[in-house]
Amino acid sequence: MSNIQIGVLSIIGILFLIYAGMHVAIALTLLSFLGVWFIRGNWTIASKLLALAAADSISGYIFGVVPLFVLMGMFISISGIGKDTFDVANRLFGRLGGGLGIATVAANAVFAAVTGISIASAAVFTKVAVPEMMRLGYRPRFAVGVVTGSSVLGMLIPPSLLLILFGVLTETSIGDLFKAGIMPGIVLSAGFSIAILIMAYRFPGYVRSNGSENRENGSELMSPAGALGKLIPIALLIALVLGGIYAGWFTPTESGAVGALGALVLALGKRALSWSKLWQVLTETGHVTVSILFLIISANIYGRMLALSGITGFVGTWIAESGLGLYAVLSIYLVVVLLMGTILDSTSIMMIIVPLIYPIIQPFGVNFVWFGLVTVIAIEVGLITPPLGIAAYVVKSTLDDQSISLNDVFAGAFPFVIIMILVLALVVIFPQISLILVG
Amino acid sequence: MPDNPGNQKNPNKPRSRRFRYSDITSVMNSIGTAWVFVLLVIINMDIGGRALFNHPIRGVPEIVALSITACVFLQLAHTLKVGRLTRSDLLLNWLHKKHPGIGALLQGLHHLIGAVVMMIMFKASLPLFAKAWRLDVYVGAEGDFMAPVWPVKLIIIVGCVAATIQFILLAWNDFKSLGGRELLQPGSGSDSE
Repeated sequence: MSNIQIGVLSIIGILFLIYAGMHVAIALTLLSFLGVWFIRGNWTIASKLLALAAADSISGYIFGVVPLFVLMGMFISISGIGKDTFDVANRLFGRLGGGLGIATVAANAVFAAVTGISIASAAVFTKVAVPEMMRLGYRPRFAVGVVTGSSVLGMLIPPSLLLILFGVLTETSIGDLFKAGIMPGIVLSAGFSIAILIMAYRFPGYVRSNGSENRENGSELMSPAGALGKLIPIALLIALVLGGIYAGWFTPTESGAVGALGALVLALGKRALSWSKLWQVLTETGHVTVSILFLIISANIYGRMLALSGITGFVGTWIAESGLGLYAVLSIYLVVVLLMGTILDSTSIMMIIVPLIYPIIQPFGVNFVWFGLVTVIAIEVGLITPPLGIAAYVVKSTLDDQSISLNDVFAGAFPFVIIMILVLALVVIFPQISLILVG
Repeated sequence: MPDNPGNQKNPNKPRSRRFRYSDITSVMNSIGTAWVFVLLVIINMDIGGRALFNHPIRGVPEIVALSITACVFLQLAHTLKVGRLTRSDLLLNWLHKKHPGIGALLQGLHHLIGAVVMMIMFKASLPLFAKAWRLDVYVGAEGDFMAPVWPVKLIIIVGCVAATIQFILLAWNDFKSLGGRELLQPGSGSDSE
């Protein structure tokens, strides 16, 4: 068997085992190990690879970003800032048709600028926005759909865990990736809002049940000063974290630490933090961090197996000889990512596909910051598509109202899948959207 | 270190044995948890020192780099135990509902393979620790800030052992549920004791 065949078999085996429910990191490690063992015919070399990956692949200052940004997001989640932002956005957009939906998108966009994981957004806004929309006569399917759809902003607008992972895997500047995430995030939020407006005015029956009252003012109307007061803390935090990276004061790791400290102060100021709560948040942070960083270790082993097998070089020459252009290759790549998104979670897709595509796409001389954004948006579509859409699962499991089914969540999120794919096409065709803010 | 649950031949008290093992993983997990908070503090002190007194704290980047690996291996077993290690449970959930026996068997196999993989990683990591210990390997610059590497290598080894044992215990639970009366075990494999 040739090395390339071994490599291909390993990849197929990995996909098979992951689908069969093996832990992703174990599947990646096992088959990469077996692959290297067969290619080199030497057990010692193969097992040494495991040890080196464990010792070296996450031993770097930059990996501090993972726990720190996760921690920041956790503090923000428990501090009730999601509710505050939603209240303010509600005051701004509440009067429009489908106004609560737009308020949810806007609040999510702001919230996303201080958290890096979509599940955090999905959980917070299921608690905050869905009951309010139901109270005002919005259809459940629409309500959960908006929350699920807009939760993807969490991993697109920086700080974003997926952008961090892409940066780590391809050695692209995480600061640049963060800067590049801002505009696509805004475009996507605008796209979601336009879609909601269209639904509200063209298909009002889909958005709200007939006969429900049209006023959207909640019981109490917030004063402008009150709204400002609620917005200032989060605005300061965003300015500190993103501004600090943008101005070059902080490395990404440092901005994570500053942001986490700021979020801690905020949570303390809102009296949302007890000792036991703090411990709970730290423990949770540890678990998320381990699940991600252990995956990075296994992705490192996998990457070396790919390199040894020569498979990427083989595909690369094949593509060069076939005369496929960048856009053809990119289209195939994006379709594959979208398909993987239906059965795999986003970090796993990133770990499997990026080490594979990176050497293939490199000869095209593309800007990897842009390519990272394209990859992340495509992967994020998978968060809200069935059968496996993590964001939809989180929304479903956070719902108090058990009469809303998982099917409702997926169906409700579907219009937003279409918007995401449109925005993805826009970002592909107009790289300026992502690159305009990158110095 | 965590090799002590030696009384495996005592079927009357599987519970106390399991409790003791989960104590070990909990302590390891707590150390890792507290450690992250320490990192948060020292990085901010470094920034503050630099900004306010023009005096950064020596060695913070090196400490962070070493610490991340240590934290991951300290918390690996516990993360595994509470079912937070990433996996796609689509098929397993379906099996647990429709064919709980097959589901438990498959999951048990996954866990056994996990144990084997972690064992390989453990064995291969031993020489790295031995080398760091014998040669007194340091990071940092001579005369400035220096930290020994061996504690992290030791933690990797301990973490691999802990994860191996945890995988074996999980597999044991899966296979036990196979033979036992309760074939229907909902949820993912981690037992929530």
